[in-house]
Amino acid sequence: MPNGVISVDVVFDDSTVVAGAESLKTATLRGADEYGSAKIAVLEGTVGTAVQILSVSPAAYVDASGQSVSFTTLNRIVAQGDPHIAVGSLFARWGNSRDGNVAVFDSPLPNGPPNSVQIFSESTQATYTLILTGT
Amino acid sequence: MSTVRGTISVDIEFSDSTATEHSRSRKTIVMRDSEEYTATSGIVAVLEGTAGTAQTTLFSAGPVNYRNADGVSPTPNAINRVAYTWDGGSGATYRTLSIFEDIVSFGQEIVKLRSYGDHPAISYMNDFTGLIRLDQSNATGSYKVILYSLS
Repeated sequence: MPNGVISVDVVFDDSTVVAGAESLKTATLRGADEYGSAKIAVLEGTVGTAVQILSVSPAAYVDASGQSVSFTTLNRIVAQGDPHIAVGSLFARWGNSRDGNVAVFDSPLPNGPPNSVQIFSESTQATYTLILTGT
Repeated sequence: MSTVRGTISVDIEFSDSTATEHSRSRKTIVMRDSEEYTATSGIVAVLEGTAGTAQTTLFSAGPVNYRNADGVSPTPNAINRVAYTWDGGSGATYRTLSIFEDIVSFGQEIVKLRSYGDHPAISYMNDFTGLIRLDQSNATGSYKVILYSLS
C-alpha cells in the first residue's frame, strides 16, 4: 500500500511601526499528516465550463502493481488547477484552485461509499491534477 | 496601516511500491506549491475558538472579530484564500466550513470546506465577501480560520 505525507504550512506576518515601535502579529496554521497505508490515485486532464464526472471506483489510475485503484471511501483530496478549477459533488463545491495554487480538503463522505468527483472550470479550458486518498 | 506578508505552502509526497520474486515497481507522487502573499493592501484575519454543536457564524461582511497589528478590526473586502482546521476530539466527525457568496441568499453557497482531526484545509476564493459559517456538528470542538484578503 502507498504511504506518504500531506503537509500544509500557512504563515502570515502582520506588522506595523508607530513612533519607532514595531508591533508584529503572526498567524499560523500548520499540519503534517502521515498516511501509512492509503490508497492513492492521481487524476490529470483538462476541463472546461461543463462539469466533468470523474469515477473513483474505479479511478482512471493504476498503482505500482499495475492494478486499477478503486476507492471504498475517500479521505483527503488535493486539487491543483490552472487557470481555475472547482472540485465537488452534485450538491456542493468542496474547494477551488486558481493559477496553480493548491487546494486541500477532506472528503464530505469519510465513511460512506464514494460519490464520483465532479470538476469544472470558470475558464473555457483548464488543466487539472487531483490527488485522491482513501481506502 | 499594517503590512501583511505571508506564505502558503503545500508539500505532498507518496511512495507506492510493489515487488515480486523477479521484479520491483515503484511510483512516487510529488506535488509541491508555495505561494507568497505580499499585496500592499493585504489583510489577514484569524478567527479561532471553541464551537458547540449548533451552526455558528464566524464572518458576515464587515469587521471581523480580530485585531490586526494596528489594533484595528479589519474588514476583509476581497477574500482570496481561506485556511481552516477543525478538531472535534476523538470520535468526532468532520465539520464543514460553509462559505456563502451572499449573506442574504443562503442558497448561494459556493464552498463547503471540510476538515477532520485537525487536518488543515485550504481553498482559493474569488474576492469573496459574504458569509462564513460552521455547520452543525455532533461534537464540540476547536476551530481556526485564517482569511487572507486582497483589500
